[in-house]
Amino acid sequence: MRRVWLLATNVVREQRWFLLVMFAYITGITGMMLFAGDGREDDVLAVFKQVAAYGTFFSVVIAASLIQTDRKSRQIIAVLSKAVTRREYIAGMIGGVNLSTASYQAAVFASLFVLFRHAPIQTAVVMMLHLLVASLLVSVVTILFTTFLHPLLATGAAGMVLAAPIALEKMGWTWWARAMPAVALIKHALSFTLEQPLAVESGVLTLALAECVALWLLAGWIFERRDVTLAVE
Amino acid sequence: MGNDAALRFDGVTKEYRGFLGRTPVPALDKFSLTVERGEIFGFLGPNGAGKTTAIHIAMGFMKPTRGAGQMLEKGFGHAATRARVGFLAENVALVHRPAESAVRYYGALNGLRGVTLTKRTREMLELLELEDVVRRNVAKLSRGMLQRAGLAQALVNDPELLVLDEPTSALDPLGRVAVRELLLRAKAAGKTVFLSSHMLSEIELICDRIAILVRGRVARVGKTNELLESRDEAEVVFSGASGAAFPEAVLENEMLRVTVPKSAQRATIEKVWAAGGEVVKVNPARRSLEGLFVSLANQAGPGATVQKPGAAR
Repeated sequence: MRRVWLLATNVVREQRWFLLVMFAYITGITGMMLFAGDGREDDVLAVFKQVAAYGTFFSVVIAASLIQTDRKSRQIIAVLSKAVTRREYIAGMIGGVNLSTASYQAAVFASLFVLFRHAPIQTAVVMMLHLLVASLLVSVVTILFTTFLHPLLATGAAGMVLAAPIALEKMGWTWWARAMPAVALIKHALSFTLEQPLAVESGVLTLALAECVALWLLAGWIFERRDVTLAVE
Repeated sequence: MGNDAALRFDGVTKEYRGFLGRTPVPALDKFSLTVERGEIFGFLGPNGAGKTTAIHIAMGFMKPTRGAGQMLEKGFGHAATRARVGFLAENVALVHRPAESAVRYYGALNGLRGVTLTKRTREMLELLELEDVVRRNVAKLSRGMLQRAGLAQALVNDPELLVLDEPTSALDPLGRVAVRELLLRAKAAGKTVFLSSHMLSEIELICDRIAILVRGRVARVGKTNELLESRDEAEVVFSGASGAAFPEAVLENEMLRVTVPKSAQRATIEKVWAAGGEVVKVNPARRSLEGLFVSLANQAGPGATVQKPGAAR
């Protein structure tokens, strides 16, 4: 567990400039909405929801290139020459992405109370919980594909898998649409209002977390069978 | 194959697959080798002979196409065993942190904690003479300094087995001497050192045994002294005889030395006596490691090196 934590915090350390830019972005957009929102609560809320949803997008962006960067820079050799299993390495990468996303979402959370002083805390917490689990699932799916695909292809493949439920739902295959609940979690999180409390979708959350564990194990299994010191192009 | 082997390759074959799996190129071909505990083992070969591939397979970075092996009595790639191994890659790449923090990070990944981690980190930075750059980011270190930092991270866990791929390639002569002494101290402490290097003089000086790898196979393996002794020639050292009778003799420390085929050894000694000289010593002729290396590489022909498609250099 300690090794996973070390790897994860190292990812956050390497992403620190990106995160600082994101914090500056949240600060900037919060300030803009605060002073230029002009009392249009619905418009401000819509922009806020958009900013909150970006967190899951950042998960993909950060996750897509982590393994490739480590392999290209050869830093992976020094890490895997230690008592680190491939599964721990993958867990460290997932942990790093989600610590980064969580810090972004923490800033979004703070922004909500700056913009809406009367925002119900229960609703905010439930919204964040759903967004964080969605980010976790998104990052696990992306990292799974990066264990055997180029980051660009992995991003595409992850996008297709994560967005598949939208198409499946339109085709009437609602049961299959629930199988990959990232979009459902984001939709539910962003359906919050300042008036109504947001329900905890415990079934969907449990399914998402179970899928994260299964896909992490699968990613570890695949990565265990890969040569890590070959050129990655 | 004793149980004391620190490292053992059993018929390991590694093929690099070309694009879409076409034309596999062999990098290692039924490669077998045993490194005993407590020895310094030199691993030599021309560029592309498969040395780094063999090392990467042993460390678990790659899977062999066929065959298997053991490191400290566990199969290749066993993560917990790597806590007892120190590894330095040919091209060192470390996390971009201050040198002390980087060494600490790798020590912690190997399970060191608290006071032990702090103590070992400081000792290694001191041993590798990095005290002045502990706060400098490793990305800003010179190549020689980076190699020292690489050695520090390899040694921080006090490993039983050291696997070093070109550990002195970027070091100045003083640095090389320091590393040589460090390896000899490690051996004296009972550690095993598996050393790949092109510094043949260095290998000749410190290695108990060497293996020369050509085209993914072991072309020669044995004790360094025995490999460098010629089975076909002898050296006769004598004094008191006129050099005119031995035009091919070399004068060394007021004595003459002549290298002759083993079959002519007795006749040469009698010739020295007949010339009124005295034979001081007769030894098997010793060739240089460079000579042996070059002859083995040449025997394998001009294509002695194997090019790996897209392989990490």
